[in-house]
Amino acid sequence: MQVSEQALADVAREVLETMAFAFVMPETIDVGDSLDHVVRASVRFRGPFAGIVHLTVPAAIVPNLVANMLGECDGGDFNEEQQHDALGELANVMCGNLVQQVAGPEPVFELDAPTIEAGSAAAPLAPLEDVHAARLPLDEGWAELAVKIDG
Amino acid sequence: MALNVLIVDDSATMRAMVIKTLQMSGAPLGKVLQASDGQAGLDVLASEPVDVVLVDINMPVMNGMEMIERMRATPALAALPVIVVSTESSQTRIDQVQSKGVAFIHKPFTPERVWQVIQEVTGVGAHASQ
Repeated sequence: MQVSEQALADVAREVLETMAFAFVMPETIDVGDSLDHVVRASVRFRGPFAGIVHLTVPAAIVPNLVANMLGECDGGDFNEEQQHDALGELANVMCGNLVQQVAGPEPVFELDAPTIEAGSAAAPLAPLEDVHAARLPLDEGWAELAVKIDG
Repeated sequence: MALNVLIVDDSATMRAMVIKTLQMSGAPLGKVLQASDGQAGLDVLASEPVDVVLVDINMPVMNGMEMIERMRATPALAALPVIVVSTESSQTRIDQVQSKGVAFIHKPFTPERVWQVIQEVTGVGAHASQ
């Protein structure tokens, strides 16, 4: 099962722009030292095929993503639970949209609740051989959407 | 007419997003109530007057489909307008939802889409937009 980088990028862009007003920029990504400070939300799915979708972003941009999702124009002081809930919801919506785009309109998938990892355990997955991924430069920071199909 | 709305979703972020979207949509809002799963949603419906329910499908304790089935089996709630707001994209599953007389909004959503569906299921504001 192949998942194109374009499909991943299209789903990530639509969800980030619609839900979090985070816009994809046409420039090259400089991940810099942000790789040491990242957060990853993962959603496992089962259906005609199974696997897991990962959304990874620098920890520094999560509060702004939450503020944008909640319409808090002045930013906000969001605790870790709120930040993880928001990132998990983004990953959940991306997963639901991605698997349907890959499988077509009819098949039914079951999605698990999102799980969160932070710090070095959440390093981006793009170099891994069995992972399909797209990393997008945002107006602030970057986001990586990756999928690993079981089997 | 101000609409009393019940939002049922296990994500506090998503509930807040739906409320924000409702406020942005121009919908005439009365009381906005929240619940984090289907059972909690039924508990709210037992004690509060509600005009429309927006409910997620995948939730712990009691999912959205079971909540809808219990509402349909309860005479006082059977005709209450319900909108499923879900990341679900399978047409098979959407057809199942709509066969229960329930409207569907796909995540991610826009304020315009939310308002359009609320008008369709409640009739509120429909004449103003024509």
